Parts: sequence; structure tokens; C-alpha cells
Amino acid sequence: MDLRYSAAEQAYRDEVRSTLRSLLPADWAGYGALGTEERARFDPWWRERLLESGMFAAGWPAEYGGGGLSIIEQSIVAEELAEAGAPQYPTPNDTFGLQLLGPTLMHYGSPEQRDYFLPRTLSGEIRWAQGYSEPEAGSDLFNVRTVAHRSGDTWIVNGQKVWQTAGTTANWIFTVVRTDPEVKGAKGLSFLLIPIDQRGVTVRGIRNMAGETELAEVFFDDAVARADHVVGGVGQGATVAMALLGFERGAGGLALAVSSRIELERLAKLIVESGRADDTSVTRRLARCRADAHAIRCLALRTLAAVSSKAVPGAESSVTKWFVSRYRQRVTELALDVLGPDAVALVGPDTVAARGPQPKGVDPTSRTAWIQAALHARPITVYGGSLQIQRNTIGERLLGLPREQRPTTAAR
Amino acid sequence: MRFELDADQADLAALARRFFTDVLADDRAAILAGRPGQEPKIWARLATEAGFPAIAVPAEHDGADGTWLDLALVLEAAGQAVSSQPLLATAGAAVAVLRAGGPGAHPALTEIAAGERTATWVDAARPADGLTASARDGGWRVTGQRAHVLHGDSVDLLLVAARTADGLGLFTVERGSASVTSETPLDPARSLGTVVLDGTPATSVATDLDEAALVRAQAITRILLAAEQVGVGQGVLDLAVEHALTRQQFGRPIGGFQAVKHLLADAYADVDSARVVARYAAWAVSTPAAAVDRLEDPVELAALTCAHVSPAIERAAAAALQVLGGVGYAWEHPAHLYYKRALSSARLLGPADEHLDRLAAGLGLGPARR
Repeated sequence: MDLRYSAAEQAYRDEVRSTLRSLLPADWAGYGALGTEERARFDPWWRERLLESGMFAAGWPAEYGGGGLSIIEQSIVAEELAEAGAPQYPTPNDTFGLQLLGPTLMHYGSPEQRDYFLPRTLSGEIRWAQGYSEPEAGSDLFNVRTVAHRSGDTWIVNGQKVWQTAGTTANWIFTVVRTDPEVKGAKGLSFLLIPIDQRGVTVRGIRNMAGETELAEVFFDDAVARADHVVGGVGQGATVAMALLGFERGAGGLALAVSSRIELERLAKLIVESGRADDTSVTRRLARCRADAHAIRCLALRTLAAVSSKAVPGAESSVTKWFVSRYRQRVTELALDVLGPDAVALVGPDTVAARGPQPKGVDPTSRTAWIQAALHARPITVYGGSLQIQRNTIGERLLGLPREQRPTTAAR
Repeated sequence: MRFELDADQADLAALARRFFTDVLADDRAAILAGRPGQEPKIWARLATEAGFPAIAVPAEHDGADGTWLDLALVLEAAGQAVSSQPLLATAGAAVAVLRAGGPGAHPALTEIAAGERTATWVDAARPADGLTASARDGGWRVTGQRAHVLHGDSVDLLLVAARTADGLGLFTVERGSASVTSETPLDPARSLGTVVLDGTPATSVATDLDEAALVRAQAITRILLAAEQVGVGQGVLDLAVEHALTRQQFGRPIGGFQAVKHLLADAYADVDSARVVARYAAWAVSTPAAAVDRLEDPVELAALTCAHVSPAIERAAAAALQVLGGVGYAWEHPAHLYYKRALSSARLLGPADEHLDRLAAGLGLGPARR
């Protein structure tokens, strides 16, 4: 067991810090301190700065225009960005293209797919959404009803996807579709890239309970995709789709620990402002959250160490999700309790629509920020594999308990 | 960067698991006979065959010169068996406080390393508070009392940090010279003593003890206890999982029912996250240049660790009892030993609120802030 960074890695951290200092404006106080219009101006500008500095697409190999960084260096970049309160993925579709689809194309894509999509994803010309969930395919991930049938050099797609984050700003969607209607479940699926800007595709925004239209549903009505835009081969959709989810893990955990710490410092300020600095019923709950944030850091170190030694993250990532998702709810519930009667009305400017902690710079006394954070914390135990699915995974894959009986599979 | 154990560490952990499994039947018999930790054959094997008491003793005292992490791994295995042996007290608390005494030659360390004597630190929770020592007739006498001293009624040697006219001193007291009463412990596998010192003859180990070093030794003891707690959680989880796989109701193993599976999944996640946190802490105090984050202060690290591990292991043990059903409530089933150990360990070295107040103080809040 050795969790020390090498001398080169520590030097790299110093380098990242000084690069960020030189790139960010002199009066920078964190993304959370920007107003809505300032953010809209900052995002594309910052994206360019990150691209120039090699910190954008940090893990992509240099041949694809990425930073060519090791997983530990990527983690350092993410941590330092969180410390600086600067976004890692400045525009809403970046995370899907850079973190998820990019690595998937590098692994499973054809040379033509890589050559076409990777540079355009990097430049922002192509903006991705993720098309997995459907009305009938939630936890039952592969109960996919969207069908694609082959017609000459194209696939004709019919069906519906739902819960696409940043779907309203995307112009391409990577999907899991059924290419073999004779087969049910995980077989007969393909991973298909579909352009959104066409007559057969309709995107409709879904307003979330925080009032933001960050989600969408996508309807395919004889939509057209190119035959050679299947990734990883026809019928391999489930394999590619699962592999893509695996690319999500590893580099971001320590950054989350950093932003969790920053959030707790902000919550401490709110407690002081509320005159409750000596109220142990509040301060001890905050202390528990601090221990939780430390545990998030330790769990992240385990994952990072495993990924850096090329181990495939396994079911233990379910433990991290189990812990982190519930923590988001605990800490934001505490904030509402600190606000007390003030939690019943939104006062203060709109905040960043973030699923994790609000970035550095947010006013600690902004009731809007804390209330929105508490609302954003609710779906965390639902999306990306619900808490109940994580518990099944832990029970079945880590404890070896009997698999859940799946009557619908038998009936299909 | 590597979170997994090295080959040597993994070997040591496996050796310790084998050892505590080997001696389990004899140890349990002693516990059920009301003589926890007092089976001399087991300690003799533990000391001479396995060499566990010597792990964290420096080479200059004929110790194994290992790390706190090495000892933590062995304590995990001890916890997994709810061992009644005074290993945490002797190889952990006593060695930590002796090492805090400075670089001088301490015969006690050599005796511990050789497995000749068992020892405990009378107050790993609140060092020196209310304990005094004075020089008399060319020797030292200590006065004060402590309840709930870990194995205080059965070890050979008591370590006492006490105030002197000049400052803070560390002393050894022969248990036979002190007035010690056996308590009836909640945890039948861990004996406790009430120690009364009243001008009791003592041998000086150090006379100019640094208060900070004592507090650090206390933090290390807490981190080692956390490792043992993780083992306790793993042990009781194993019992519950085995039960869930074999116990059939409604024609199938109860572990296939989601209600039961999810209870166990929560317990697994509690034990797993506790292990990650406890191992991190043991590694960090074993690695002086652990520049991995701002946690240079072992006291803060111990507070973070205890605040996470204690409730997690209590929850896991309670969930395991629920899964075991009526069987887990029976005296003859070992589950109660685990549950009681979990309850008792969470409270043994100071109240949870103390840890929390320290952590709140780090954010500028609460009664412990300056």
C-alpha cells in the first residue's frame, strides 16, 4: 500500500496550479461567483483556454488532440480545477463527448469513426447526448424498444429515448437500439450514433423539479443513421454500452472530495452567519459530514490507485456510489435544517445547475443555492443505477447472494 | 500509487487470519468460561510463534521494526475472530505510548517484543488527567485512578502517564503492585479493570514527556482500534452472509430476498468503506512523508477515522443480527460477541462527540474551537 504521489506527479500538480493561475482572470473568485450572463460569456472562452493548455480531454492521447495524461495526472487536473473553482467541462455536452464517448470510440470505434468524430467532439462542433434510458428501460437497462432496421447504407430508427441530460443542446446522440427485433434483452442491440438535426428526430425538454430544463426526451420517427455509424459491430451494443459506463470512473473522485470540502467550508460559514456556531446539534452533524467527505477521499484514492494500475474498476464502484449519493442528500438536508424557516423561500441569485456540490465562489448565505442543491441531490440515488440497483450489485456480485429472480426476463 | 496491500502485507494479513482461526476454539472457551485473554497458551503462541507483539517495536529493542499498518492488519484479523487476547493493549497502546517516551532504552519495549510480558496503557483516552507522580526514596510513586482500563485486570504491566512536579512523566507499574478490580465488561471477550494507584511504586520511563507525543500515541491507538473494528464488522458480516445463503424460508435461501439482500449490501458497504478509511489512516501514520493531503495531524486523522468507522461497524453488526434472526440473539451463537465488541469499541476510547467537536473545530465551529 502506497498512496504517495511521485515527485514528477507533485511537480505536475505545481505546474497545473501555476497554469491555472495564469489562465484565470486576476480577480477570479470561483465560477460560483459569476452571474448568469458572466457564465455564458466565460464558458466558451474557458473551453478554449483548457483546450490550448492540454487540460481539456486530458486523458485523450495526443494523437487525437488530447492532453495524453496518465489517470493520476488527469485526477490532479480535476482536483486543481475544483480547488480553483473552474469548470472542467465548461459546456453542458462536454462530459458526454469527452469522458464517455471519446474513450469508447478509441477502444471500439473504426478508424473512420475516430477520424470523423473525435476532432469534431473536441472542437465542440459535435455535441453529444447519451441515449440509453427509455420509458420502458430504466433499471432494466436493456429492455430497449427503440428499433433500427437496415435499409441500404442506412439504419431507419423508430422509438423514444428519455432523460437525456443536456439533450436540448446536443446535436448528436449515442444510443443503444435494437437491431435484431427477433431477440430480447441484452442481445440484438447495437450502439448507434445518430445525428439529431434531421427531420426524423424531435427533442423535447423536460423541466426538472429545480425548475431547469436540463433534461430532454428524444423521439425517433423514421430517423436516419449511417450504416457505418454502429460502434463495435452490429449486435455488440450491450458490451459497448457497459464499457462506456466504465470509462466514467476513476479520475473524478478526488475532485469530488475537494469540492465536497469546499462545500463544507461554505456550510460552516452559513452556520456562523446563522448564529449557530455553538449549537452542537448542528456542528456535530457538520462534523459527521466532514468525516464523510474524508471517506469519499479515501474511496476515491482506492479507485484511482486501482485504475492507475490498470485494474478494471469492478463492483466496488457500487460502494462508492452508494456512499456518495447518500452523502449528497445528507449534507444538503443539513443545509436546509440550518436555514430553518428561511428554507421555505428562494432568496438569492440563480445558481449553477450542478449535480455535485456548487462550485467555489457561491455566496454561503444564498438560500437559493442551498435549496437548489438539496433538490439536485434527490435524483442522485436514482440516475446512473439507482441505490436499489447498487444494493443488488453489492449483494450479488460482492457477497455472492442469489441473483434477483427476474420474472419479466422469463416472460419475454 | 497503490491501495492494495503489498505482497508482504498480504502475507502478514493471511498469516494473522490463519492464526486467529487456529486458536479460535480455545479462545472462545476461555471467553465463555469468563476468563477472556487469560489462556496463557494462546498468548505464548501469539508472541513466540507469530511474533505479533513485536511488530511495531523498533529494532533497537529487538522488535520487528514494522509499521502501524502492519499491526493494523493483524488487528483486523484479531477483530474478525473477536479475539480476547490483549494484543491491542500490548502491541498497540502500550507500544505507542512507550515509543512516545522518546528514544531511550525501555526494558519494557524489549520485554513486550520478546512476548515475555503483556501491558496496557491505563489511559489511552484522556492521558495524564488526574494522575500524579512524585519522587520518593530514590524511586517514584504514582497516584490516581482509572476505570475501564483495557485488560487492566490481567496484563503484567501498566503504563501510566502522570504529572510530576517538573512536567509530564511516563511510568511503568507492576499490575501486582496496583489495586485492580475486574469489571463485568459489556464485551465478554475483552476484560476491563478499574485501577487504583495510591502512592504505588513505579519505574520511570521518561520524565520530560511531550504532551503532543502523548496525544499522538493516543491517536495511533484509536486508529489501531479502528482497524480491529473493521475486522469485527467483517467477521459478523461473514456470519450473516453464510446464514443468508443456507437458511431457507418459503423454499429458497433468504439471501435471495431483496429485503435481506439490501440489508446485507448496506452492511457490506459500511464495512468496506470503514476498511478503506481505517487502512488509509494506518498507512498515513506509518508514512511520515504522506504528503497525499493536508492530513499531517494524526489526531485529526484519528477523529475523522473514528467518526466514520465506529457508527459504520455498529450499523453493520446490528444489520447482521437482524439477518441472523432469533439465532443471533442466542448466547451460544457468536454473533453477540461481535455486536458487543462493536458497541464497546465505539465507546472505549472516548465519546464520539469528542471526535465530532474536534472535527467541527477544524471548520471553526463548536465548543472545541479556540
